[in-house]
Amino acid sequence: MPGSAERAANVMTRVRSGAWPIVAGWVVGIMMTACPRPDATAPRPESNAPPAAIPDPPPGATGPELYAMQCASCHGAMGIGGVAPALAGWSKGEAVFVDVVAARMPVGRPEACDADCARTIFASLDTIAPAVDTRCDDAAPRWAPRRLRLLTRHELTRTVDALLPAPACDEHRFTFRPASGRPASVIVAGSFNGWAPTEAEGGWPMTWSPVRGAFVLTRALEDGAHTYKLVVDGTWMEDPEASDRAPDGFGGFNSVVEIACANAAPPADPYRGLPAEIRPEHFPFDDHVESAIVTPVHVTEHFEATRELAARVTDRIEDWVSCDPADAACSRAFVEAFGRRAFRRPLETEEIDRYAATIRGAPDFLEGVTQAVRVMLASPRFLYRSELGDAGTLRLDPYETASALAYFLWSAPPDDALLAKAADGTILDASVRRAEADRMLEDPRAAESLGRFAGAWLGAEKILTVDKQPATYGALTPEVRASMLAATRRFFTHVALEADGDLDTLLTADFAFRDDTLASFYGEAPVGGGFAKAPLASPRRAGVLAHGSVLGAYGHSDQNSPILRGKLVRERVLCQVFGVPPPDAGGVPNVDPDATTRERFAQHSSNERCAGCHRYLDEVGFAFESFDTIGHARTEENGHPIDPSGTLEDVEAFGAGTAESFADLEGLASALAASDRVATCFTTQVWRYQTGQSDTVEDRCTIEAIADRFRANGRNVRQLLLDVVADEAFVRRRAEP
Amino acid sequence: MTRFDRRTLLRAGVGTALVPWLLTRSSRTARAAQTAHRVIFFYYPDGVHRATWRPTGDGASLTLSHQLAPLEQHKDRCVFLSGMSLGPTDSGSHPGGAKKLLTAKDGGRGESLDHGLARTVFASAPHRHLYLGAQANQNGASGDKHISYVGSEQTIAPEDNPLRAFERLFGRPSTPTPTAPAADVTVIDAMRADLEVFSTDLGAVERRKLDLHLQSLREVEERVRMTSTTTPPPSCANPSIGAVPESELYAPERFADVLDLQIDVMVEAMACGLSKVGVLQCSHHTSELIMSRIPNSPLTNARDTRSHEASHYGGSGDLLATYVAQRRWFADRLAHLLDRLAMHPEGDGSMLDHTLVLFCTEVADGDDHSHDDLPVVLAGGASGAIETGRFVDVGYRRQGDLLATVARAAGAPFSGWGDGSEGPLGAILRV
Repeated sequence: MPGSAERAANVMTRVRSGAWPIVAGWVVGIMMTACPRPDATAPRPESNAPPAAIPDPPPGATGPELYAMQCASCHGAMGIGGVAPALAGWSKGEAVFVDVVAARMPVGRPEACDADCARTIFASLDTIAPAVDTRCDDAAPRWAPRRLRLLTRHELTRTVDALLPAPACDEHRFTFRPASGRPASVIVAGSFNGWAPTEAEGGWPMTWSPVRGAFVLTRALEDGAHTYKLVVDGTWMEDPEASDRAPDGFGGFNSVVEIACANAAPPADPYRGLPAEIRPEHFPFDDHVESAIVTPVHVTEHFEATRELAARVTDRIEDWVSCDPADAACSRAFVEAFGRRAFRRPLETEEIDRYAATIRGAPDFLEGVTQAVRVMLASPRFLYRSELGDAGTLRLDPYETASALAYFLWSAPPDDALLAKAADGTILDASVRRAEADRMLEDPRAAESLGRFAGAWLGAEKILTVDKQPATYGALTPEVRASMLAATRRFFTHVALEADGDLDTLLTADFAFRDDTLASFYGEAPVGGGFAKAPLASPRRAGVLAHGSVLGAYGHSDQNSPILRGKLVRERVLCQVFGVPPPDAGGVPNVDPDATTRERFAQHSSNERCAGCHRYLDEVGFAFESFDTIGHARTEENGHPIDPSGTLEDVEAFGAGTAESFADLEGLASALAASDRVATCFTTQVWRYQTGQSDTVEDRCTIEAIADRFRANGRNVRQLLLDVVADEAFVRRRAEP
Repeated sequence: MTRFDRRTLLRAGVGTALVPWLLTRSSRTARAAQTAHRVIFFYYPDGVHRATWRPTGDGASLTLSHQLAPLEQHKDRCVFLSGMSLGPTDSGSHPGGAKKLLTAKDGGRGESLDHGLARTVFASAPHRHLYLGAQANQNGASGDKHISYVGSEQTIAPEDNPLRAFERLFGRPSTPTPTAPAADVTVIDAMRADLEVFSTDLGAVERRKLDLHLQSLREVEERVRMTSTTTPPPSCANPSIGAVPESELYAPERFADVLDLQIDVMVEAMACGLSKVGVLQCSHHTSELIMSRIPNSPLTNARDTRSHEASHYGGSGDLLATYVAQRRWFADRLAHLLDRLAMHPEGDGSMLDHTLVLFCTEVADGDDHSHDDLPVVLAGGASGAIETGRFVDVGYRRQGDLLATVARAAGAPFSGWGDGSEGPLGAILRV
């Protein structure tokens, strides 16, 4: 077993390398508080007896070991605090420390750490809980590291949507390869255009494609079977490439093309087989950079996806090049045109050479293009977006900046306007970035992308899959779930982008979005079609906190969960983190036909060991009791009236000693909205999303600076996004060892 | 840049006395007759009822407990162990246990054995590592809910969709523009070359990410080459799989079906020589799985009971009964896996004779989350590398010793694994 010094050193290394949330989760796995199971069906005579399960520290344990086993779960790794106040930079001396610990710590079991134990811990306190410089004025800013960011599944899907949209079902390509020579005119004439043999009369002329060495024409056709012939320099003939023919009534045959698109399924996403992204603890989003690795499963999926994507290129090769493949420069022309869009930047000469050689090495041009496209779409230059920057200046180059902007606000590649500003270098200017971001937020891609941010931030996405008892909660159909999530996303983008709204509105709004599915589910009047803004009645006027997506995602299959809902508020809205519950904390108490939820969870407050954490969770969670586990409002439970009142303790920091009462969820939401912490937390979440990093102690000042500006701007969400983009941190990187 | 350079291996936390893997390959042929041809790690969440789990007797007198009774037909090819420990760190924690389970390293700061086997003794398989789940990614479960570590603190996600796993192994039924195998080889070769020349001045973390990417590409490249030149064995003709619609993959009512399908996929893949090491993960720790919804099973119940809730039985007779029934059900699924393996002939017997299965969970008992005295079952003949039909109390041994035992039984060169590992369990290892 590694010695304590080594372990402490390991812990410190982890902090420097920015993995402290992992360490915190690791260290706080050792629990010092214990909480017997709440069980409404059996009497609990020994509810306050110390459980035998918590291991005592081995004799001769060192200070760091004692701290890890008995204190870290509440006071945090490195003494940075958690459920209990921070110990970092303890300045009250040894005597006070020993007195407090010996008499009262660990909470509920003070005999576990006596004066000797306390002195042992104190002797190493400098190592266990080093002082953290809390001043931010002189703090050097901390940039994100230089790195490559693997595109998420969603980003990949959006990237190929822009680069290589799937062909529309009803689009048909006619191809005519003359047997000899090259006719002057080829017309498609058939049932779809009155059999007109010339262009003047309405016939469809085919165009010569030098790349393909054939005449081509692509047209959208209506559903059904169409008959036609080709008119080649005035002569009617069947289409040699038609898949079917039918007698023409004159002793000959017509060519037939069949279209069946009315009920066709939408094209499958080429990336549907990719595994879900890894999300470390306390990181709500799918773009965590360090966790994103390419496994053989990923490679296989990329490999398969490129088959179909390459076909999309060759099917419409005329969109990319119009040169003669016999000309050596044609391969280069294609690679440059395609590469610039695929890699989101102009290609280097070496790259063009290499991919062009792949084309020329193939038996024919289209086969060569297929191979080159497949290689390019499996290339790290496509799959990752670079944030390496210039090695000298440690700043993102113009094209990296354009991609950073586009993927942050759109989850999609940069458009031509952005690429133009990258080409002339102006995008490096902060005010240009801000102006571009302003423009981009008007685009529908921003609404879609930010809506997804909202769903991930709150964990509302889980509404799609969370299980509910079919017998009792069958009203939560797949359609309702989908509408709930869409409504939350719509609400967020409305507030942030359309209404120039602020964080307060997100948390306390008296309106929401409804479509007919949701209106019906909530027993409200139909809205007539798609989503429309609808006013809310009490107690729903609590913004996102009263959304069905949120209420449902944080509820069990057969009952509410005040713990999960309390945890949602503490962890995702206030960024206050808890340790892992102790082993005999027990599970969820059975549904009791005679007791309310609040009564069943009473153990948590009556037992001092449980109360240490649960006073922060349950009180908040009970505010949601006005809604059941699928978001329906209710005023009574098992014949007892609902009591959604409670106390919000220590909203700014654990150990602060504050307490605010609220009467219901709306009151809780107001109290949250009024706090400073909620603004810092929201900033932190946006920072995590934009940088793809878990924040560490060392990022605190950077995030605080952005949060201060956020508060100064009235917590306007749009301004926050623009500030993030304009900030130096957006384009500066630090060298990594 | 070599694929298995020492730096990478050491950083992955491989413990002691590592024989260069090249030696392994040559000596492996000599020992092939005596070591397991494949290993399956079969994981279920949230422990057992420790007080009544232990079998009694040994060898001919081996008598199984209620929770293990479904293994009666196979007990002569099983080993039941008492005394394995994950060590003291994070004792009492589900995630802490899950991180140590296959890595034997605190905090999951090391490679798990399944990857260790995949890159050494079983590296010749076209799909070196198979990680299948039954509702293992439920509600976006990630990170420490997964038990397979490709490197220190680096998990990968299991595939929860049996059909998708099947297609990846056996090909999609109809690709829109099927490519000739030769063209595929050209393309994958060029992809690998393209990644190899992607050299930029990178830090250690980024370098490692790209190294992993290249390793992954190389594995797929080898497989594409192999597929284009070799024909599958006769037993591999017409593999087929049932299906659960994607919308029902996470419905508790379908859990048993999904698990059975994944067992089929794993066995088919191994029968066809496509994989030699696999991890089969049922749900994840602190499981929200509502097993009472599984239809037509001993667990069927009108009242929803979350698996994790039942694991905290405490003084409740009801919860304990449910918990024990669940544990027995998982053992029954292990028996089903063993039955499937027994159905495929291999050598002078069946696949079961030449397979080693490690049946494991991340805490000893769900009620107290203990990391000591884990309930361990090894199953399968392992080609004679393990002495089976045994119940052995090993006293107090660290998890790495169990993993080293599995490694040696598979012919891999590791004599220890992770923290506090002294060596394989001599009481049962025959090679």
